[in-house]
Amino acid sequence: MTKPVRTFQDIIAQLHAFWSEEGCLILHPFDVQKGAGTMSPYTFLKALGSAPWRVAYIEPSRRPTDGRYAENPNRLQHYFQYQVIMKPSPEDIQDRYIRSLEAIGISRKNHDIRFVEDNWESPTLGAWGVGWEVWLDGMEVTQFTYFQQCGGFDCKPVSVEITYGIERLCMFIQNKESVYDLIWQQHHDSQVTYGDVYKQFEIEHCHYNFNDASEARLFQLFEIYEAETNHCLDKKLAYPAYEYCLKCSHTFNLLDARGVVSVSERTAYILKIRTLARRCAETYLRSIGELEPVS
Amino acid sequence: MSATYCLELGCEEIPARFIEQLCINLKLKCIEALAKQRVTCDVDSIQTYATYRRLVLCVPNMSAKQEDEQLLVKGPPVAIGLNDDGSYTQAALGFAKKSGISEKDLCIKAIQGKDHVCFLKETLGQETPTVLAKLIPEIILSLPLPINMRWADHTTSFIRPIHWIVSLYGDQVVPFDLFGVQAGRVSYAHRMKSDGDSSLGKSVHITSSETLLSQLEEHYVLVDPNVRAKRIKDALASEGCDTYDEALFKEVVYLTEWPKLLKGTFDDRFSKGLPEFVLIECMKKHQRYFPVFQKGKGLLPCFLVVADNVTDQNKTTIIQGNQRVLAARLSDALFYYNQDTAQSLASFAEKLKGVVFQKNCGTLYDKQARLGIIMEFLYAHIGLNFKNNNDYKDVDLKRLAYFAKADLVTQMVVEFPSLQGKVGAHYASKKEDTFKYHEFIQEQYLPLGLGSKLPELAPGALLALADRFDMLVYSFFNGAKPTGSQDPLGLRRAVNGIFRILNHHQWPCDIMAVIDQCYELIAKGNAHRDRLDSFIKARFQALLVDEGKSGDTAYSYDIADSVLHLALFNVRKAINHACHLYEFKNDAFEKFKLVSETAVRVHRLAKKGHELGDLPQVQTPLFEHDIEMDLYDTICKFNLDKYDKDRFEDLNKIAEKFTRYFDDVLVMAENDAVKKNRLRFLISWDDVFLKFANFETIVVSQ
Repeated sequence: MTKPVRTFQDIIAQLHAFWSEEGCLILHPFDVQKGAGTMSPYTFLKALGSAPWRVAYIEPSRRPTDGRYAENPNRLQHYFQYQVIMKPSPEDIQDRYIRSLEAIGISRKNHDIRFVEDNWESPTLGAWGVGWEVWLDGMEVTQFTYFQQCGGFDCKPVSVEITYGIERLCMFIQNKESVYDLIWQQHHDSQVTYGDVYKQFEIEHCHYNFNDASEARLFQLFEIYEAETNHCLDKKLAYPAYEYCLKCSHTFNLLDARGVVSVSERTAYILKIRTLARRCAETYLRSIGELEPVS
Repeated sequence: MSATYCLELGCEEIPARFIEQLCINLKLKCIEALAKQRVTCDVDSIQTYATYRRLVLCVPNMSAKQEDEQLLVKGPPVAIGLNDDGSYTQAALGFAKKSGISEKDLCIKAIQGKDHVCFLKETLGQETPTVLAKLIPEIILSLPLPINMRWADHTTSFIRPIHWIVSLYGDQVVPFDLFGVQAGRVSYAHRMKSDGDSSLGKSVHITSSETLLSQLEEHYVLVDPNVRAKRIKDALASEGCDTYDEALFKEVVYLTEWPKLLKGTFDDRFSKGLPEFVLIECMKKHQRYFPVFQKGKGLLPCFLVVADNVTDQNKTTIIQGNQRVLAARLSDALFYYNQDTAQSLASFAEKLKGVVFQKNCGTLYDKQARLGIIMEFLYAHIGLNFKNNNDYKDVDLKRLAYFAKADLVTQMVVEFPSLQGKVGAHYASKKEDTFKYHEFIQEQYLPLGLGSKLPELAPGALLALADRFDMLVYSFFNGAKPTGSQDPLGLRRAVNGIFRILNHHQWPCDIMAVIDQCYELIAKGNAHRDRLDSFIKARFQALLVDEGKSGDTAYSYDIADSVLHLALFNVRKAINHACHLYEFKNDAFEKFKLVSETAVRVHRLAKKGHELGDLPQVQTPLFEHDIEMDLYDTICKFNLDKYDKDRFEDLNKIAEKFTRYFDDVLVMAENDAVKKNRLRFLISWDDVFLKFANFETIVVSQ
């Protein structure tokens, strides 16, 4: 028997258990490609409105430009975020967060844990908040944000968002130099690593993102998704609209990685997506009765 | 009886960069508020302290009570307030009633020399804690915040959520309520180092306002930033690090409550594989580490990190953690560096063809081409000659422009944008054919801000100028409208750069001619040209004033204004003129006054001449007075190219002649030809005076 190790899946399970105890719903990844856990409707839409909301979920996140053909040990175009949202933000949220680290074996006494200013803004979502990045012995492991606005609307009450980079945390815990060496699962003597699951996936996606994505078709897709978002919005269907808005965003990210978007076009695309996201937020607020319906 | 008042606001982590200013404002607001409250205290000894989790205010020697106040309340004047028999009128009695006093409290007092019915309103001073309980929350809420936030369901905002408030006058609690927090005497010690029930830290009951600092120090909090700064400084010195980045140092002081310096190392392969400036950037920018230099050896493969929660048990773990993070960052950098350097700088320059940059202004590649043309224009226009200069004789300005922006598409600059210029310079220095350009590429972004270095090398300075002129023109062309103090596009900085570079190199430069040239290169008309021209003039005006304030000769704003038109052709000359003018005004005021009055008079008449359109050349046969001929001879001999401060003496002699001229000559003569001839003559003289200054703007008083 090899020495027991805290595996990638252990960490996720332990975070789930911890936040479940703190009163959070444990939800599952949302089935549309997206750049970050914040873009899940469980955050973007649910942070709007006055109803309380407490949730934790894991979210695959795609950043096509960050791909490095699996040659860089720290950077991926597809990775996981562990996301916690609590609305309204509890007074003792920092303490809860530090206890969550202890739940995965990182004791406050043994490490230098710091909250260093890092304000967050998503131009595509028309969202921003203030907060910190959390440093664990100098390593940035978490983004901690008090949402101030979402889709251009003030967040009342304010939600707090905690986003763990779980690969980073796991590398820290398992003392690995490369994300691909992380032990995802250990069963008796057999191990499955992160690389076993995702290395080939990374390489192929990098080829696609940087070289092989069909530029013309992606531009077409963007237009189609944009039209479909607007179509859904006209029907006052916020959720379906938002899914197509996410597809727009991902398609734009692919085009960006492909290097076919000029700097000035880039701004125009971001503005288009922001306008869609804003309309989604507005439609959602109307459908839950927190904004006057359009007559 | 007096006592110290002490306030501690316990917050979630406050951004380090704002803390110092918050403290300054806290003190100012406190002084301001107390001044209105008739509470005596030792204003000069008011202190503030802060860490990332707390803002502290200490007001020593506050009197126990407010002073009583006597206020004379003014009623009607006696003419209306008193009857002939000296009794009060209805008007006076009405005043008493309205003020809630009885007739016997009324009196007659002179106010500004006039008798009025009055009464003396006496207000008894309140106990200081009572005053403070109302005042302190107002002070806190009046603090200007650089970024504010809301949290939970609070509607008011602050810099970060507040968790506790200590508010003590001596040993007595001054109670108030803010953001749902009740002010009291409970503080919290170091988050991690003190043994608390939660990560708020151990709760500490503060005995009195005098003991806050010492009680917290017992629990690993150094509230006074000067004490932390000294600890860190001493620790750095003991590791041989005597010079360090001041901004980084200050930030670290406010990122800690119980600072401890640790030393880590990094692998030799990074020192060998990466240039020093990249190593330093990785350490400082992202990790807030101090690099270590050793005389003769340069940068050592180690770093110093200031941690906040160090114990004997966790020290090794923290160092190892930090080493791993840095190693990961450095291996990223090495990866990009190796990829980049496998290609030539020219291949990156070619890639700029694909980078669309600003609307209507083509790609970055097009921009480089423009920079080449602008540089050659400036070179000829300024009258430079590199042919005889050993360092520059092989410099091809078009070629320099071709490489200037190539680094913007290297992986290294994409990853570390602040290294632009440096990376290009470094990559250029690695290949023989680009080597000679590397220093110029590096200099193009100078000056970076106030007090920054300037481009010293002529080609670097030309590139820096061209880049800024081009940027100003396309920004305005595309509709930029600079407003207020914000400068998001860096337009102000660009003009400041042009001004300082031209001044430093003492280059003459017709700013408007360069702008003409830049507009021509965009070749789509003259959009927003007026706005750009007035923007540049306004900036130059402000910069001339600044120069007066900071230079050795502290000339005043009006003198700065008087040379603005000269600065648009030659910045250094304009500043020299301003200095000489100022000295002339101070040393020989009467002479200066005469010159100034003469010049203004000539200028106003010249304006009349200009209004008549193109006048014929001066014809001496039309002169009627000797003095006209005398001044004509003077102007013919006047050598404008010769300039030094003694020229003001010459001007004085000329002004004396003009005194006679204006005595003898009626400029606006009845004979039209004579009048026009005289006006034309005065226009010539006006041009001479304007070469010194526009005297009209100068305030003529001592």
